[in-house]
Amino acid sequence: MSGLTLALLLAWGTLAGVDLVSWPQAFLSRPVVVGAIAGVIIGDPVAGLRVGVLLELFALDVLPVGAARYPDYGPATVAATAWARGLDWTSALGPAVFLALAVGWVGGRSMEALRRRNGRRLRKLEPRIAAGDPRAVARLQWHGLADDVLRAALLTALALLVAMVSRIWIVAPEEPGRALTLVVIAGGLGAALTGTVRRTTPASLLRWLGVGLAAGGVAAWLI
Amino acid sequence: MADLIRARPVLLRLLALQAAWSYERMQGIGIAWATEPALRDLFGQNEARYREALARAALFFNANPYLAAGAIGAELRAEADSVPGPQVERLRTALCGPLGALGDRLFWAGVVPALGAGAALAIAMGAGPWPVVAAVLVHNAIRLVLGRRLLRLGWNEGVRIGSAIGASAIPRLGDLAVAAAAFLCGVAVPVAGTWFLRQSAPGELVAVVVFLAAAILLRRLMGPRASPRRLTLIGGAVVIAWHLVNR
Repeated sequence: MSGLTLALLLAWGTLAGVDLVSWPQAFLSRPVVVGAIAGVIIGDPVAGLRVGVLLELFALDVLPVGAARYPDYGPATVAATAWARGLDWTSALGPAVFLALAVGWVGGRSMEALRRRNGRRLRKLEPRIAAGDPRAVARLQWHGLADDVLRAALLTALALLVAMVSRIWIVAPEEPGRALTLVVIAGGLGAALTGTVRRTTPASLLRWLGVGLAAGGVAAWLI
Repeated sequence: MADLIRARPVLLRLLALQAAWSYERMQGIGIAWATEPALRDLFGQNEARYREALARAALFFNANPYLAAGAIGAELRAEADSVPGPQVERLRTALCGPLGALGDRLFWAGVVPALGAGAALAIAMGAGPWPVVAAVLVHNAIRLVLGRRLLRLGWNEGVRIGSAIGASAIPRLGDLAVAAAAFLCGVAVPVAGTWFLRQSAPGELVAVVVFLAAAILLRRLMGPRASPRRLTLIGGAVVIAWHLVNR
């Protein structure tokens, strides 16, 4: 992988990580979007789409409300696409997505730490905020954003490093790679279903899930 | 509204509403950051009044980020009408619940999963990467148009914003979006499953179905602690450990 490709992946992963909460929350952090772009950057768009679609199924189980803790799948999807590039997807998808799920968990924890850090900075500037000082508000805002950029960049760099090292040292043998792929596919499908049931209220609207499953079954059979 | 305050700087700053999110004030600092240009427009000549309003804007606030424009519009109007400070604070507090519930339903349970599942479905059906572009465009069109309209609605209605939003199309749109998300997720699961498992052996398909059933059952029995993501991480770790022990 060239230095330019790595730099572009790092930039894209950082933007995806920042988009999750801080700025601009423009759907760029969704795995299906991140995977598609990362695949183009890396020169293997199909790998990006496969990784993106599977991680999107996991993301359908996330409800990012209030102070909830949730995974950061943006940088994770970039690293997973880097892992899967150029390999036979039937054995590479499993390790790649497994890595992404672990990185996503770390990303969620890092977001929590960032929120605490914002709180500590807020407490220091409390008197100025209470006095309506616009510079104190701007300072909190810009520092929070800069910290999130740093957080997302570090997370992406770490994830890419783990992806590259594990690709070199852990040559994915076909058999466990294939088994891992089946596990992550089943997990993704389960996440999409349980996530949909969880967020669909009132329960009467769940009939649309049933209609969708029936329609999807017919579509899958026809395809 | 355009006579008294400029909407564009407020809407642009709203894109970074959660940049300084903290457990203490949640989106409070972001609301102050977004309203600051408009407060400057309103009270630029009266520094004390401007600072008083800005300090109030920075108090605790939490709602859905895509619907927060409504609260900002209402708060700006209340400040412009010289509504007493404690009443403005009560207005903010009162708006957190409805704007959070309606927005979470519309976006987190509706628009976002519908677009994500729709894009995944279209890719699995062979549409290539273009559905991703479409999803990003649609999401941002909805979000920007809604933000602009809510800012205006908040400004026009002021302290009556709660009932105005209740009477608006947003609750109905929320139901529609949730139904659409449920339908698209339902279609996406078998189609994506087929896309991934088309070449699998019968024994592998049985293993996937068993794991899927276990994931759903455990979630049902144990709640969020037994998420499919967690089960997948455990299952993956078992596969890796099994391989390391037996190689």
